[in-house]
Amino acid sequence: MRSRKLRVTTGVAIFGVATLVLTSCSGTTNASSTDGSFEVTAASLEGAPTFDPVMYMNGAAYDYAAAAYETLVMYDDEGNLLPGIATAWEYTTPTEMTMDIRTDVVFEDGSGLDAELVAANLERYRTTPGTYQARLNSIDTITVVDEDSLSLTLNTADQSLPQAFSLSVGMMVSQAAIDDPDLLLTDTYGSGPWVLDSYAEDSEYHYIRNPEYSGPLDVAVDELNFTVITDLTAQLNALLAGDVDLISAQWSQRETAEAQGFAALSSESNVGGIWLFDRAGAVVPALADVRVRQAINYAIDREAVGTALWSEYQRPSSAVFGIYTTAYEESLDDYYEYDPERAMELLAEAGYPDGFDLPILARSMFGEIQRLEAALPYLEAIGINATVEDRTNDYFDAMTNQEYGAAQGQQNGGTNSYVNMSNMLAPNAQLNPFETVDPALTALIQDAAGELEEDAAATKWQAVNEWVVENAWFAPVAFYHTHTAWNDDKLDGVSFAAGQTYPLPFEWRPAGE
Amino acid sequence: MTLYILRRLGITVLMVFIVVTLAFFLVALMPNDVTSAILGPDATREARDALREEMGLNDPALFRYFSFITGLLQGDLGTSYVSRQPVVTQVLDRMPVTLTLSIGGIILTTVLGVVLGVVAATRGGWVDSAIRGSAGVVQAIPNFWLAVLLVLVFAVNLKLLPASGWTPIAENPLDFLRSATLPLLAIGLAATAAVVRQARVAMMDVQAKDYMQTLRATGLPEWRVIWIHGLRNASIPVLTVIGLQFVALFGGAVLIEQVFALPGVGSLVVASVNVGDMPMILGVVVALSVVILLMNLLIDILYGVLNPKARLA
Repeated sequence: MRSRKLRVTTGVAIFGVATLVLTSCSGTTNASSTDGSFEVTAASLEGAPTFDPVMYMNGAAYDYAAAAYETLVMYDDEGNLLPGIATAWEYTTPTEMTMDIRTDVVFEDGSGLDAELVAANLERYRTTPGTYQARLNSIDTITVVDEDSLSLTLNTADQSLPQAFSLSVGMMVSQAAIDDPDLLLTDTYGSGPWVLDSYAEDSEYHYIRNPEYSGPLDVAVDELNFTVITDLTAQLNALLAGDVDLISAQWSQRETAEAQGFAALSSESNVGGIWLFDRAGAVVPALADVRVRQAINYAIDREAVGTALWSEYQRPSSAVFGIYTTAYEESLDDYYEYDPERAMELLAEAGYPDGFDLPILARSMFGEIQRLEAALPYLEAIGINATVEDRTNDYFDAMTNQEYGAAQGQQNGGTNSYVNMSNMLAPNAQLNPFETVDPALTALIQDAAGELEEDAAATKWQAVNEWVVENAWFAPVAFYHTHTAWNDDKLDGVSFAAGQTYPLPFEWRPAGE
Repeated sequence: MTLYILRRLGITVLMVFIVVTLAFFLVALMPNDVTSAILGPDATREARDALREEMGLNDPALFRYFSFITGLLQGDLGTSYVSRQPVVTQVLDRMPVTLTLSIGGIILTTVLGVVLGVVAATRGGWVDSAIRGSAGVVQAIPNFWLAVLLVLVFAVNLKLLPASGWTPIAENPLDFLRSATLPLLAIGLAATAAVVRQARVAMMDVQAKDYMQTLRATGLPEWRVIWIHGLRNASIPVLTVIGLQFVALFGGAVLIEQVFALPGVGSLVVASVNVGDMPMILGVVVALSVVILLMNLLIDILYGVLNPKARLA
């Protein structure tokens, strides 16, 4: 009996010691490094597929590239463009652009930069399949003028290039990486504020301060870690447990984090709604009539649907140009006030008093099915038999194959009117799958794209926006926010740059500094 | 015994081939378009069509299948469409985490399940009721929900263990234990409950056999009668359950890896399916099939060792 008691006691003691050892060896990343350097760990929804900027787009993974590469152009929280590697740029004509560059840039492999290398980088981005390759389609030729300047000849007026150069297609890599791009599969070759020190693929990424950095940023983070946590709830738990310092969140998680004493912030990023693609009525004849498209816009109670989906973190709108674009026009937000009776009148005038069938393409990503389901009762109320067509796996194929006259979607509100136009209105735009062309709109776009004077260009882009709203090419519901939450006992300076869905680390500093 | 093992090995190779073939054509039928992931949302239709052609995605499925099988026979699983890195390297990088979860989970399951099952069967009374009741409750809880509960209690509230992340054992054994404890508990407890129930029933059955009385009559200590002779005879049905649980643990690992943000094969396959990275999906399928079939082979061999009659089957 005594020996059994002894065994039990020994077992409990071993378990207790093991528990103490396990739990006392803190693996938390919350503390700064013991050498006094400032170390921050951010959760990321994705790992880095490669370190080649070609593959990077605005989103959760963008920081992997943004940390290590300098862009030609930078931008602030309002979307204003600032000098980066390019010190100045100018459109001499609507199809000619010149650019001066810094030549004090030193890459992490010790090599330097000149206009030849900038030209080689742009040429690579222009010809290599990648996420923003389409943004450089307007470049016809790149000419090196001298060591620190170059000129671009465009095949069409495109004033969005400086903004494109603030994205991954503006990130400069060293000559070694240009010569052998495969080097970028496993390492960074940039001149950014940090350099990649080590990583465990799709798990942990460790960056350290780049002593050679010569750009305009004054970063405070000495060691920058990214921990890949692909689930937002797991990210929230990791923040609450002290495993990470900053996370992405949805509004409900953001509020939980705030209730637990963490700081949070959001930024208007995307517009969600129903895109009415079939403006010639090829698949859904009713959509050819502008009155039908307007009826759909009048039928949806944007305030109610937006609040149900995104709480207070949204702005109902009838337009698709975001608040940071020059085309933004506040009066267009409530152009289509909720008016089901007016909607039914318009349907009757168009010859559809009993409604019609409207299958709507959707995908179960970003909560899009739920968003569509929230809007469907409003369409049913005016007699439109709208149904959800879940094509998650081949959403874009179904769209480009013109299988559906309408789709549930989301689109970045953007910072540049020309880019929004290219993505949503141009004949070859992904969100114009029926390649609708209207001479009136084309004229307005050409007028705006060719205008070099800023205020005049803004007025012309607003005219484009107004035309699109009036002709109801889309039925947007609201611009909604993306959120972040962070440990403000440790970290300060967190903000969203305009149009970004993830905070960049450039301004992060120790709390209280 | 050698012939028995060779026969099982042959069946295993055949099964791998069948699974891989089925997986290839199922994945080939998937409508996911990887060009969207590579070219981003702004790409024009022309650009996507050109890339599809360049990547050989327009080639007939049979042509791509033979190309895949030829590569597979040479140990080459191809290159990821998205990361442009060899699939073999990426799968092998991720496999240790998933294997640690699955093998660690099955060890935890086996040890806890057999011990508790035998104790329940031999002690009876309130001990048996308590163990059976607890096993029933644990088995009814989905492992992903159990994982969330464990995180909330031990990581978020008590801050005793991390809520996410993984430290390889070679890097820091103590941090490895810290990072692996909650995932292993989450993945192993439900399987443990199943083994407890099976071990209890098998042991009760064995205890009623005459040879157990004979063993006791020879003067053997009770612990030897139970834990050596009794357990050996009760182990065959238990082994069956453990084999099935191992396969289930692999499936469970996908969810557990998501909850704890572990860089395993499960999260790799989820990400690959989302973007339609066919070589990566197939690479994971091949790797998991091989591991699961090898585990089945091991179980078959253990059957043969424990029960000579099984070798004749």
